[in-house]
Amino acid sequence: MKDSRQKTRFRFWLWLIQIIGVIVPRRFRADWQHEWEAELQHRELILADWDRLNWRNKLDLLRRSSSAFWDALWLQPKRWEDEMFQDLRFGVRMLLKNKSFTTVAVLSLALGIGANTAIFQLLDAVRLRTLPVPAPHELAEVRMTNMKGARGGFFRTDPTVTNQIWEQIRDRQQAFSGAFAWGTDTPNLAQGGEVRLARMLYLSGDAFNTLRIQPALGRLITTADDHRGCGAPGLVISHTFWQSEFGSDADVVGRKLTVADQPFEIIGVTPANFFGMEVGRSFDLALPLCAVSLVRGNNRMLESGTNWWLTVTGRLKHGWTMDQATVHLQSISPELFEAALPAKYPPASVKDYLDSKLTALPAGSGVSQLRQEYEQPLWLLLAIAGLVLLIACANLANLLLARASAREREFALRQALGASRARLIRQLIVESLLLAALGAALGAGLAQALSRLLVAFLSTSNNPIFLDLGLDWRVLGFTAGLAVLTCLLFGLAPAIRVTQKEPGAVMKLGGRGLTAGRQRFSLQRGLVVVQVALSLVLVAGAVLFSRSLDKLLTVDTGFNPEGVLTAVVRFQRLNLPPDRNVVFQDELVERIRVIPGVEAASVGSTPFRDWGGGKGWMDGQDSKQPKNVSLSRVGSDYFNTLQIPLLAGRDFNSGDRPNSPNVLIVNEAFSKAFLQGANPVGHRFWIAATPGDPDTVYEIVGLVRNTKYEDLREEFQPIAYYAAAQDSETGAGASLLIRSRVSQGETVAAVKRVLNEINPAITVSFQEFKPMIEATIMRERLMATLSGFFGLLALLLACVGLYGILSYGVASRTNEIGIRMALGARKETVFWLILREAFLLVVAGLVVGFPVIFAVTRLASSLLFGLSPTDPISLTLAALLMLAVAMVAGYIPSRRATRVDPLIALRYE
Amino acid sequence: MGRGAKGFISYAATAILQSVNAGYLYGFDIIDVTGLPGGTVYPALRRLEENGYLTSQWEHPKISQAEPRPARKYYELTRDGREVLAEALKRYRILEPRRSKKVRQPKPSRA
Repeated sequence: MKDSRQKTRFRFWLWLIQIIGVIVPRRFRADWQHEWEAELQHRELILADWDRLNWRNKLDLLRRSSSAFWDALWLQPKRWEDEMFQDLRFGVRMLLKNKSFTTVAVLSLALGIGANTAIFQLLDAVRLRTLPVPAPHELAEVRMTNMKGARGGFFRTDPTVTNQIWEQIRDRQQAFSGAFAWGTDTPNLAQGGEVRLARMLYLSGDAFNTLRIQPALGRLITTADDHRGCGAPGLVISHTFWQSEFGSDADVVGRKLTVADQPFEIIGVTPANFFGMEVGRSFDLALPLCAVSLVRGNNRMLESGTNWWLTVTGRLKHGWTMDQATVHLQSISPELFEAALPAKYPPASVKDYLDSKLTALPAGSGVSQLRQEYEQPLWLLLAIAGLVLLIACANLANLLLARASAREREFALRQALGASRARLIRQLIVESLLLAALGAALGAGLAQALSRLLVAFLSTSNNPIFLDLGLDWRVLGFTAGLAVLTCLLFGLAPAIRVTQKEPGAVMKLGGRGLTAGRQRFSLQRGLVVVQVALSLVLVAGAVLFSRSLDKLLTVDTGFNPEGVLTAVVRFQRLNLPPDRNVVFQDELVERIRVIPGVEAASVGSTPFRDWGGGKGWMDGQDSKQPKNVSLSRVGSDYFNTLQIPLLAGRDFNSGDRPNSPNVLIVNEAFSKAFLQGANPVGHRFWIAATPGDPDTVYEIVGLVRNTKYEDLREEFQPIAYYAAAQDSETGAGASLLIRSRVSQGETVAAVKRVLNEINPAITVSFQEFKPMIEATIMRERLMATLSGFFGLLALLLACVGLYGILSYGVASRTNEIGIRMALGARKETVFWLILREAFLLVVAGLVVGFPVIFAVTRLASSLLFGLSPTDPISLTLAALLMLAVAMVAGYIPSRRATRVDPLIALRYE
Repeated sequence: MGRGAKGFISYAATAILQSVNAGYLYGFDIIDVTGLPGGTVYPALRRLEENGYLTSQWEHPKISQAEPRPARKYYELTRDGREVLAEALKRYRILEPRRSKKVRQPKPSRA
């Protein structure tokens, strides 16, 4: 009786269990419901037996059943664990099943992600990272707003100040809690023979304190070390130098090191992560500013007021902003420059000097010549590498689409059996994510090698590049972001596509049909068109950069660098009187000229390395309007050594001595700039006063051909050559140019031997001329090499993509082709049927790609030499290359189509 | 809950193991005897089972069919469970006296 009553009664608690059961993972649901229902019913039965099934106990049952909700919630992680694990396991199984697909996919992703990560890593190191010091955002660089009033010697390419200006800033500024100046130099460590240069960092006393750097060993430079006339103060060495030179010897403090023939006592080692103030260059040694007099053998760097070699950095006082600091610096500028004006400053520049203004700029990421030179190319390369990755993604999407069509029946079956669409999409995304994760992991590893390779590519023996390429959160985040993005890019479309189909229709179709529907390929075709368009952009870029490099390499320099060796000889240790140095230089050159194999040798400025300029005017013209002229100091036989043709007049000869009238030889650009192209021989030319010399008049005795002076990219500039032999005194060193028939190695050995015979205390360093010139176009070489590599990769990927879709088309049209052939279609017709498709796809790609090229190549125009970014020859070449590749990609599928046997094709029906 | 190293289980889990050990084998009985809410007891039972401290079985259909009602699920201590309980009781001494005391009889069970 009771039982039947209970069955008909509506029991809210059991109903609640039914509802809550919906959220219990399917695997546990039956058991879960069963247990809760059994407990509730059992309790209900007992209560009924005891006649205590009153409303209070019913409420209690309801309360108990509602606590099943918490139980169900606790089971939720199981759902995810379960399904994720299931998805992952299934994904791994699918990837292992198609090993070749997986390999291709992972490798192409690894290449794409690796290239992107490598370039990003360089950008991160060059641009985004801050100096490894506490609170780097507080650091500011004090700079002159313009260098118009600056005259004298310049030691770095970025704006610098003189020691006089620094001392005024130090004494007058209020904006910084600490400020310091730093400069660089490369003194010699060797005590004779070939030079061994060390990278020296000169720091004013407060530097380490301002930067808040603690020593790794011993102590660092303090204000007590840095005062005029400090003699040989304590030397601080870098951590790397400590490791390489002293094998990390813990007892290094107190030992002596000879720098530029002066013994210095080592007082400490900087921490491992401190690489100096310049990103891209590390340092070996650090000395207080005052020591520069001892190392250089004179105190011009500190006293002249015309040597521009220091960068001033300060740490903002608490509560000060960069703008406030600038306002403050501007306000103290007039008095400051007034006080810093050197006594014998060139009168023409005094006003500009006094009008100079100081400003504060953020310096948390240090200064970097590398950054100035490479930031733009690196961003461009990152964009290019990004495009390559995009093409790779399009390729993978196409492969996955093809694979998804093959798996249509599997998915239809799973949907028919109750799998939800979301679940299927998730399954496919998990597979894509697995691929992306594998690709990213491999790519991150690859990037480590690639970025180091790039740094090695850009480093030269004379300019080694040091970059901290450790993985930081930015690089890791970038790689992980790329992985997720690529996964969505190539995985989402196929996943949505394949689950869109009506399961019934797919099952009925049974994978057969005369001709696969056209619109069913539209997405694949679209992807191929995008690939072709993007590849065209990259190929065009590659062609442009390669042609630009080629133009630079074959540009007429005006001289012949082949077989020329440059040497810098130093002989301070001989302690010759200054007036003897000139004669000694001549003697050295004479001894070198008679070395067997040496064709010519001369003292003289080395183009691309030794620059100098001045202002001047033709005698009789307005001296108030001087024009810029580049200056070269050359010895006898200089033009013969570099094979620069003499066009008119004479070369310097033994008659040009210190007491004879000053003579000049000029180039064609000079005669064009000053004499409207007239023959300059016999004219007189004034060179404006410099901090060291008054206005001086020269007679022009010769005219030579134009040569490049400091850069392959430059227009020919006016050059005036003056005779080294007319200097009454000169420094104890010489820059030599030696042309020889024999190998450079032999010449180096012979010159070293000769110098050693003259005096073992002479030091010398060599550099081949041609590689030195080529090092100046490293940026162009980098762009050409990498864009070429990426262009090739893009072509290859586009080729594979095209091949893929065409072969897939042929495979799914086998029936149609069979019927066509059975009805009498000739092989050529079938061949062209397929090849035409390849052709049309590429033409569509070109139509899409060209407007993109016109839009984006503008960005690269500043990196091109002698070419417009829309250079018709380059673009035609790129388009032809694209077409040729398309035809190659289309050939095999087209051939395969002609081999379809109509009988076999139709038997499947 | 006692997911980690053997022997480290929570106070609630100890109380549950203790009540199973004392012969209260069903979820609702354990709720009654421990005074813990159902939303705590059931998840704890599942974890303890996952960790191998408890096993569960369905009661014989003969019993449930007599009522008739669905078969109930009952829990039993494993050897591991007994060890863990012994360990835990050393830590949670406060539970110890309850063992010897006469526990308030819950609503009768028919198991």
